[in-house]
Amino acid sequence: MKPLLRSTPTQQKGVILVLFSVVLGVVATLFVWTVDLGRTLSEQRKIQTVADAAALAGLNALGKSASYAGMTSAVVSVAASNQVSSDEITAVAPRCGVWLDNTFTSQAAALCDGTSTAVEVTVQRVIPKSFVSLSGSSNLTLVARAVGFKPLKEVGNCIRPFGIEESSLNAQGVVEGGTFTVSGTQGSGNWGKIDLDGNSSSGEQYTALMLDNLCDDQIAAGNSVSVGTGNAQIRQVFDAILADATPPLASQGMVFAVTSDFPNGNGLVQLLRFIRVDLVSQHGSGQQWEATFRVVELTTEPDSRTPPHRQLME
Amino acid sequence: MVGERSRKECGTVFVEAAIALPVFLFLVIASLQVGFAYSALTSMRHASAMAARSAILGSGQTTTQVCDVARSSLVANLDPQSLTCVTYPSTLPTTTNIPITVTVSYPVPVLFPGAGISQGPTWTLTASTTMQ
Repeated sequence: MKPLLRSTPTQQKGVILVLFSVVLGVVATLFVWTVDLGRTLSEQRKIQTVADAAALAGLNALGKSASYAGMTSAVVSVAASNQVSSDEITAVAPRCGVWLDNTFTSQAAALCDGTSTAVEVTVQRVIPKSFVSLSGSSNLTLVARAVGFKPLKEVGNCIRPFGIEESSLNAQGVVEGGTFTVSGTQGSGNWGKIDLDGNSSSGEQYTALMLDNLCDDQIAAGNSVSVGTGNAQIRQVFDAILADATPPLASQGMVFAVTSDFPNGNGLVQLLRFIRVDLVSQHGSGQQWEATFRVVELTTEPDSRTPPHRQLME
Repeated sequence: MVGERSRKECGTVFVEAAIALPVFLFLVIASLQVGFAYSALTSMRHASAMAARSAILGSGQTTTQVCDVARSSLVANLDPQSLTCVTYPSTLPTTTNIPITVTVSYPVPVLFPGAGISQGPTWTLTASTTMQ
């Protein structure tokens, strides 16, 4: 009588192959999943690197061309150099904007100019999956976002002999990160030179003090100081400030006085508070002058007798 | 008859296992190899990106300095001295707004490392990053 539970050699034939087939299926599945996961992570890392590179290139281009088209062209060009297609990098349009408090705030394309301090780039790449997921999709969309921004650099914390009327700032509704414009001639416009220590009355003295940082122990909010006279040197000074390309840039982090309204001609003006700004642009002809500044700090305190952090002109 | 059949099929399991085991081992080793290659490639991409970044931002002013950045950025147990690094242009520009490409290559052992056979054939992986 044969035992019921004992299998014969005939019955054992092929058992290993059957078991191996099962195990092979499981191992092969794990293998493909491993490859999928590895490829996905690798692609994600790759497009993130490209997004970083493109954002930096866009920011660089923005500083030179100051246009949305120029920025986008640089972004697409660098992406192509890194094997990311134009479609992949423009599926979400690159944006310019400003970077403040670790937050990117976008601007409209038309405003993509010298006031922009940041560029946001998004790369989208669709990769096929080895397995169709439960949702039925056979593709996976990877997204990488990067923001390149120009850090706000402090040139120094000394007040420069330049004042802006508070009434004008209020009328323009300035906010930190926003821009405002000064224009017109001294006295009749909304700005003016101020004589902080009695040594900035002449054009040459004013130029030297504007290009350096001027500190004065006696300067404090509430004091009244003499106004400078004439428009001499004003555009040349700000031209030189804009032209400076040695970090930290002279055009960034300047401290000016916020004043009462300037008188027409000689007289006194009251220092109400101090403001830290970046110079964005300036132009003018004859006695007319106009400049755009971006607010870094609406209210700041100048240092006393601090050596200048930088020297623009020897 | 039963005894004769038993003798004929003696070792069947062993033969089947001998066929299956190499396939199984191949899959295991291939998984390790692919995993290591992906890891190496990811590390190399990171290294080339860091090097290109240093080149465009000016912290790396010569090819040697830029490639040192790439080597110091390597992870995943890769040997920095085995990394080949070139830049394009080969002499880094002093002006900005010029694209700089950093290309790195690494000879990955074909069989997984650490098994005493790392001196065998290699498979050279390449990664490059362009920044401007």
